[in-house]
Amino acid sequence: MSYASFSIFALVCYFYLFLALLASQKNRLIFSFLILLVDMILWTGGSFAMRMCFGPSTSFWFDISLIGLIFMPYVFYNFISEFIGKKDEKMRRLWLYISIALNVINYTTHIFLEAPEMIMVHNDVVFIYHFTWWIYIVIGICIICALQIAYNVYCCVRNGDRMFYQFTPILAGISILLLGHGLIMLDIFKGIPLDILSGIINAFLVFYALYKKHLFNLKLLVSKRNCYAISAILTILLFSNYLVPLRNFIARHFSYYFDPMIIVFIIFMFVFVCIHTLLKRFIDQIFIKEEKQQADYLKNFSDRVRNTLSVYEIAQDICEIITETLGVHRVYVCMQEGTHQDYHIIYSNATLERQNFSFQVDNPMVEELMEKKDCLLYNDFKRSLNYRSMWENEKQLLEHLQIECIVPLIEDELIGMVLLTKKIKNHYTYEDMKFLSSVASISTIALKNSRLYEIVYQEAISDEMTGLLNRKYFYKQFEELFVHKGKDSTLTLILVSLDDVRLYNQLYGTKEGDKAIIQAAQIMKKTMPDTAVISRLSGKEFAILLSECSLQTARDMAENVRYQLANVNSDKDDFALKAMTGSFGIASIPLLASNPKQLEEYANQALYQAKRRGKNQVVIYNEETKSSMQMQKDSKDKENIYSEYAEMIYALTATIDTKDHYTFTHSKNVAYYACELAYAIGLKEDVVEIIREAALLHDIGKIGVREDILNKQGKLTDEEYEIMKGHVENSIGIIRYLPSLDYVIPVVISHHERWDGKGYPRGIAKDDIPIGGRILCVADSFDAMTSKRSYKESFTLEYAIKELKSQAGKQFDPQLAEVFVRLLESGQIKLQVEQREKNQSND
Amino acid sequence: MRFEDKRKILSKEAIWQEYCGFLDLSIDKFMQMQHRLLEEQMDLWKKSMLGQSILKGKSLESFEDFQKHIPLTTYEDYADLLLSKDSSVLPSEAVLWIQTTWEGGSHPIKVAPYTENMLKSFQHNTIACLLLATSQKKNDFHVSDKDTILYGLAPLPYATGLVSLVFEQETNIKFLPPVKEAQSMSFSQRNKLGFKQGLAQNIDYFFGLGSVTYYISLALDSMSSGNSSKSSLLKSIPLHRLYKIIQAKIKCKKEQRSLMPKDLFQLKGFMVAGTDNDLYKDDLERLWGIRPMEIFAGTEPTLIGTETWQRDGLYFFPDACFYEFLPISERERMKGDPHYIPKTCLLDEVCENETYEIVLSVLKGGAFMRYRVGDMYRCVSFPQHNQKSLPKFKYIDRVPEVIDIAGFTRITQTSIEMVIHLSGLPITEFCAKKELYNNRPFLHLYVEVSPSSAYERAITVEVLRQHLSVYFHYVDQDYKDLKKILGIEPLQITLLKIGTFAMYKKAYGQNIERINPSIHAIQKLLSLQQSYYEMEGKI
Repeated sequence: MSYASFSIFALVCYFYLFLALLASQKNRLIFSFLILLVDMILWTGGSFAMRMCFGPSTSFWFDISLIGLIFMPYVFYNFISEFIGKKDEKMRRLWLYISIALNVINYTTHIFLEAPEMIMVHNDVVFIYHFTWWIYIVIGICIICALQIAYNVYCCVRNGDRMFYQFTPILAGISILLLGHGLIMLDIFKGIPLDILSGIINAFLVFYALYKKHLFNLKLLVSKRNCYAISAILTILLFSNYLVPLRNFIARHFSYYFDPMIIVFIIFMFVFVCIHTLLKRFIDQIFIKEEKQQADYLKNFSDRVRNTLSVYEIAQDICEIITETLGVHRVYVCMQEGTHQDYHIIYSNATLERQNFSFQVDNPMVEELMEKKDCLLYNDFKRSLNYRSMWENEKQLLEHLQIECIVPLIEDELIGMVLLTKKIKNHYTYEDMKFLSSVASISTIALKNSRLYEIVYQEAISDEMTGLLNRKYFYKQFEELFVHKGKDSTLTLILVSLDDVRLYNQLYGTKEGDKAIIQAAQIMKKTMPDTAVISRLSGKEFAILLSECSLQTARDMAENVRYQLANVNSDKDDFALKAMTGSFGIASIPLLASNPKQLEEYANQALYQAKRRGKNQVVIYNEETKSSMQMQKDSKDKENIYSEYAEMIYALTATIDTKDHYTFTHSKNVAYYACELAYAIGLKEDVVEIIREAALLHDIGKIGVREDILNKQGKLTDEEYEIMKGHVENSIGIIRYLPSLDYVIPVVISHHERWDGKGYPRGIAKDDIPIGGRILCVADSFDAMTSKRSYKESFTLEYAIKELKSQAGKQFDPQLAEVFVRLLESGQIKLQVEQREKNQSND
Repeated sequence: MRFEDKRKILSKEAIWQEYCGFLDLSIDKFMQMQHRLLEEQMDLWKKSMLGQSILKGKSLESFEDFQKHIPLTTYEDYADLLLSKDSSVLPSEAVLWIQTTWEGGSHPIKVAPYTENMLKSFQHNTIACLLLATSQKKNDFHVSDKDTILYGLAPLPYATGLVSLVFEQETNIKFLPPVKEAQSMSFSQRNKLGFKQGLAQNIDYFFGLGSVTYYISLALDSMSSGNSSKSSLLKSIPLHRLYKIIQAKIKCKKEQRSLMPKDLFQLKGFMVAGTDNDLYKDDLERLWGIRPMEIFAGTEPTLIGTETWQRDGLYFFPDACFYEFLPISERERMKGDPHYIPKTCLLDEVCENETYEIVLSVLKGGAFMRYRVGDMYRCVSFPQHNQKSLPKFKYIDRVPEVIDIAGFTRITQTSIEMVIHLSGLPITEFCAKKELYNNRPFLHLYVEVSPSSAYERAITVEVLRQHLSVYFHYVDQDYKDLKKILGIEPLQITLLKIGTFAMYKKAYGQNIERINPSIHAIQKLLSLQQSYYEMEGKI
C-alpha cells in the first residue's frame, strides 16, 4: 500500500469522524475535539497534497501541513483541559499565542523547518528535509506542553476529580502518536507512514473516550450522509488504482462500439451503487435491524391499542410489547382510578406473584416521575432527593418486586405507570428508554380514552348508589341470557324486596336508609356467584338472575342473604337500629315458567306471598302461591287504610283516660292543633290522618309512668324526669306490637326532638326530624303551655305565642311556628281550653 | 453501591445531587419531606411499647395528635425501657446501641438505639459532610481513594465511632492510624502515631471535637521538636515528604515561628463537631490554613446538620429528624408552670435572629419523639418569599441549665450539689457560670461558706478549688478527660463574703439562678458584696 493510500485513509477517517460529530449535540468538549480533527486534517491533508504535488505548489501544502503540526500542542492542550474540566483560560490562551507565534515566525522565515527538497529517484519524487537546531525549539515547546498536559491529568487524578482509567484511551492515543513520530526517524521504518497511522489510531482512541463519556450516540457514525461519503471514497480509491488498466482494457476490446470513457463512467456508477447498497445493508444489519424491528412492533402495538376500548387489553398489550421487544422478566401496569387517587395494579404478566399492591398518590416516586416526565431507572431514583422521603415499606415493595425501570404514563398528569423488572440480557440502555417512552406515549392516550369510555359505560349500565346493574341493562341481559342459553337451560330469578324501607328512612333518616340499601347490595354481590346477574330494579327492589342453578340452591343462597341482612345492624353499639329485613320470591325456567315474562311474573307473585306472610322470608313460587294471589285479588280494596284502625286508636286513648284524664284531653287537643297546622301547610289528607293518629297516641307511653310522677305537684327530680322522658320509648314499645299502626312511629318517636338538635331520644335536628314530628312538637308544647296542670296554672295565649316566637329556630321549626302563630292570631285555631270551658258552661 | 464505586462511574454533578442536593430544596419541599417521614415514624412509634408508654392510651393519627398528645420528652421518659437494651419495645429493631455519659442522670450512661434505616441516613449524610468539607462551591468536591484522615474522636460505642465505620464502608480513605490499631491505644499514642503516619503520607482530612483538634494541632509542634522520636520518625518518611518537612522547617526558621500543621499538610477537608467550636475556629484556621466546617451530631439525634463551603450556618438534613423549635419565651413559661403545654415552631415557622431550644423526633424507627436534647440554636437566616433555599442556624450552646466545657462535660446543678455534698465542704450557697478566659471556656463557681466554718476551718480559694476538683474528677469521667486530654483546668472559684446571697435575695426579691445566671446578675452579686464591704467600712 502506498504512502498516498495511508494518507487518504487517514483523511477519510478524520472527515468521517468530523462529519459524525457535526451531527451530534455540541458542547465545549465536542468543539475542542472538532478543532483537533481539523488540525489533523490540515496536517495530513497538507502532507498528502504536498506529496501528490497538487497545485498551487508543494511549498503551499507544506505550510498548511506545518500549520497543523505546530498547532498540535495547543489543540491537544485545549482538548485535554476540556476533558478534565480545567478552567485555565489563561494557559490555553498562552499556548494559542505561542502556536500562532511559531507559525508566523516559520511562515515568514522558515527558520524552524524549511520546505523539503524535491528529488526525482527512479521517476518517483522524494522529499528530503533539511533540519537545523532551530527545530529543537519547536520540539522542546511540544515536550513542555506535553508535560503540562501530563501534570494537569496527574492533578486531576490526584484530586479525585477523574478516575485514571477515564484517561486511558487518550493517553494511549497520545503515546501511539508520539511513538509513531519517533519510530519514523529510524531507518528500519523508513517508507512506512507510521506518523499518519498513529494519527488515525489516536483520533479513534479519542473518539472512543468521548463515546465512553456518553457525549454522543454511536449511531451517528452510520448516518445516511456518512454512508454515501464512505461509498464515494471507496469507489474513488478503487478507481484511482484501477482506472488506467480498466480504460486500456475497454479501449482494447470495446472501443469499436462505445467510447471507453462512457463505459468507465457507467462501471463507476454501477460500482458506487453496489458498494452503497452493500454497505447500507451491512450497516442496517448491524445497527438498524433492531431499531427497525422495534419500529414495526411499535406500529403494530399502536394499531392494536387504537382499536380497543378495554383498559385491560391495553395493559396486556403493553406487557406483551415490552417483554417481547426488550426481554423484560416481569411487567406491572398500574393505573389511577380517578384524579388524586392511588395507583392500583391492573395487569401483570407475573401471574404467580403478588398482584394486590398499590402506590399512594403522595408516593415520592410519583413526584419524581411527574418532575422527570420520562422513564426512570430505579437506581437513578435511589439517588434522588425524592427517594429520601420514601417510607421503608414503599422501598421494600419496589425491592421485593425487583423493579429496575419505571415508565410514567403521563399526559397533563400521571395517570399510571409501568414497572419493569430486570431484562433477561444486559441492562436498560438509552435506546431502550427511548423505546419505552414511545410505548408510554402511545399507551397513555389510549388508556386515558379507554378509562373514560369504561367510566361512561359503567355509569350507563349501573345503578349509581349500589354499583349493581340498572333496570334497563338487567332486562337486556335477561333477554340475552334466555336467548343465548336456550330454552332447555335453567334460569332462576330471585326478586328481593327490602322490608319497611320507608319506615326505616323515617326512623333514621334517608342517609341511614341509603346505607342499608348499599349494604344489602354488597351482601348480595358477595354471596351470589360471579356468574349471577344482580340488579337494583327500583328503590328497594333487587333482582338476581342465576343460570344453571337449581331452585334448592337459589333458595339456600337467598336464605343466606336474608340471614346476613337481618344481622347487619345487630353488632352496632352506638345506637340500636331496627333490623333491615328482606322478602324473597323465587321462580325458575323451565321448571315453573316457560319464558322470561312468566318467570318475572311468578317470582313477583312469590315475593308478594312472602310479604303477605309477614315479610323477612323466602318463598318459591308454586300453585298455592297462585291461588293465594287469586284470593287476594278478590278481597275488597281499602279506600282508606287508616280508618281501619280508628277503633283501635280510640280504644288505646280511652285506656289513657282511665289512668290520666289530662293526658287523654291533651292528646285530643294536640291532635286538633296538629291537624290544623298540617292542613295549613298543605299536607295531603292521608298524611294529616297519620299525624292525627300519632297525636292521639303520642303520649300513650305515659301508661307506663307512675301516677305519682305523672301528677306530681312541683318540679320533678332528675331521676323522675328521666322516667318521664322514657314515655317516648314506651309509646314506641306499645305501638310496635301493632304492625298495622307502625306508620305512626316516626312521628311519635320524634315529637320531643328539637329543631336545634338538643331534644330526645335521638338528638336529631332540622329536616332530619320527620315533618309530623315537628308539627306534633309545636302542638304538644302549645297545649302544655295553655293547659292547667297539677303543678302549674295555665299560661295566657299571649304568653304562649311569645314563647312560640322566641323558641322558633331553637325548639320549633321556624316556619311551622310562624304558621301556627299566624293561625292562632287570625283565630283559625281556637284555643282548646276556651273551647272546653265554653262546652262546660253550655252543659 | 459504595460511594467509592459511584465516584468512579458517576459525574460530579450526579454525586453532588445525590448527597448534597437537599441544599437546593425549597422550604416547602423540605417540610413536605419532613411531614411524610414523620407520618411513617408516628405509625411505627405508636405501635411500639415505648410509644404506648408515652402516649398513655392517646391516639396518634395526625400531625395535630402528634403535637397534642405527645408531650415534650427528656431521657428520663425513655430511660426505663431503653437502658435494658430490649429491641422488642422499640418502633424498629436496633442494629446498634450508641452510648454516652449521663451527667446528672439516674444512671451513669444513656443509650440510644440505631435502626438499620437510621444508619443508612447517617451514612448518606456523613458522605454529604465529607463532600461539603472539601468543596469550594456547588458541584465541586475533591475526594480521592488515596486520601487519609487524622481522626480525633472516640470509637464505638460512642456516636463518633460511627463516622469511622461509614468512612470504612463507603470510601477507601485511610485512617491514621488504622481504626483497629487505634482502638487499643491511648489518646496521646493515637495522636502521635497518626501524625507520624501523616508525615509520611500527608493528611487530607481532619475530624474531631473542636477543642480536641486544637490540642492535637498544638501537640504537633512539641512532637516534631522532641529529640527522642526524631530519628524513628525520619526513618519511615519517604524522600518527597522529607523534602517537604525540611522546606517547612526552613520556612518557619526564616519567619521565626514554630512549625504549624499547615506547613506540612494541605488539608482537603476539616470537620469539627461538639460545643465551643466558635472559640477554636480562628486558631484552627491559623494552624491548618483552612477553616473547619462544623457538623452537628449527637448520640440521641444522630447526624442532623452541617455547614457548607460558605461556613456561615448550619443546614438541617431532611431525613434524620423532625425538627421543632421551642422559643425562649415558651421555655420561660414552662419553667414557671411545669404543667404548661408549650407551643413549638416548625422549621418553616422560625424567625431570623431568634434563639430556640431544639426539639427532635428521630425518624426511621428511632426511639425519641419530641425529645429535648438540650441544645440551643439561633436562626441566622430565613429564606425570603419564593427564595429556593433553607433556613440557616447557628449552634449556640447547651441549654442554660447545663454547663458544657469544650464539648467534654455537661455540668448541672445536681452534679455540683453532689460534688459539694461529697466534698464535705461547708459551702452554703453557690452559683455556677460558664465563662471565657482568653477565648477558652471554664466553669466559674461563686460560693459562700457557712459563717461557723470561717473560724473553724482553713477556707481559702485554693483549698476549695483543690477539694472540688478532686470530687468533680470522681463524679464526672468526662471532667477528668478535660484535664487528661486537653490539659486544661476548667474550675475557678470566687469566694463570696458570707451573707452576699442573702443580700441579693433581699435586694432583688429572688434567689440568683444556680446555673448560668446572666452576666448582669453576677455583676449585681459582686457589686452587692462590694457595697457590703463599703457599708461595713463606714460602720
